[in-house]
Amino acid sequence: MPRDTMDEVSDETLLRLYANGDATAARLLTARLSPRVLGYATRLLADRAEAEDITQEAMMRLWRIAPQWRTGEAQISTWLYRVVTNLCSDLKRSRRTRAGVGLDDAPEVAAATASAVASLMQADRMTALHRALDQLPDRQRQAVVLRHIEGLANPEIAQIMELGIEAVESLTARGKRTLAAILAGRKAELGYEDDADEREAV
Amino acid sequence: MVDDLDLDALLAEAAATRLEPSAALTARILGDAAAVQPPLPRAPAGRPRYGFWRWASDLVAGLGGGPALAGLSLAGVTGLVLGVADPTALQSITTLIGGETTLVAQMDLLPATDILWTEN
Repeated sequence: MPRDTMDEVSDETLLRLYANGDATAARLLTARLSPRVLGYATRLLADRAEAEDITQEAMMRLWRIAPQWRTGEAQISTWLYRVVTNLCSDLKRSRRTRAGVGLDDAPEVAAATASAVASLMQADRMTALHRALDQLPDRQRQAVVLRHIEGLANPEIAQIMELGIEAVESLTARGKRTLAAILAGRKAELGYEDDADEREAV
Repeated sequence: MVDDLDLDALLAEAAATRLEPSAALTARILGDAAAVQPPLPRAPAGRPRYGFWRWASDLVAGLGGGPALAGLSLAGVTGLVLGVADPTALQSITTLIGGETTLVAQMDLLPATDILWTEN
């Protein structure tokens, strides 16, 4: 099947093709899903290497469940987010006995801006954000990342976190407030000091 | 405290930043996929046939398969029975259709060939 046609095929259809032995389906599913899985895991763990291991494990679970996947029961992306949420929770629980995340462990974020200075500033901002996210309680961090970074709607987040919608709203709001408080002392690091001064001057 | 505007901008910036998996990670994922992928469904492979059996198998396939061969065999056997059987056995049928007296009109379809059948 031509590539542009395959782009329109749903994740579920691709998974069925994979289960039926189609070799290209795995490649297309990996290209579609792994960046999202990696991004989510990185934001939950603030550790790129661990996030890569979680991504590999989550995708492995998807390959294994493919022959038993029940059509229409859940979206594949929702199922994957739930798997990653659980894997990361387990990992963080086991990590709590070890030392905290060091500065060198902060994820490297590819910058999209043209200027090198702007790229560095953006990378610094993302590093600061990931460190701040890492200080949130697990459930608040999951809710904030799913809502404000992954851009999911509350009903889908409720499915992923296996909570009611009101609980998700509450977690997201509390998470955002806590995040703002954590980041309060890092305005310069975030590159917002000058902007704030400019706003005050205006 | 970082105000809402800054926090929303920061979160939006993070949302717009796509983390690309490295080539090594992609290779690991695809390696796993290949390792656990169910095989393509294949037709059951029979024992290879040689010589007579292969020829017979090809003949049957050429005639249209088993059902066609069965039909052909039945027609052949029926023709043989009709040819060999005593014609008196069919008299009841001809009587039923044509009555007691059956007129048989003879017609020489190829009179010019009669000379070929006469001796001397």
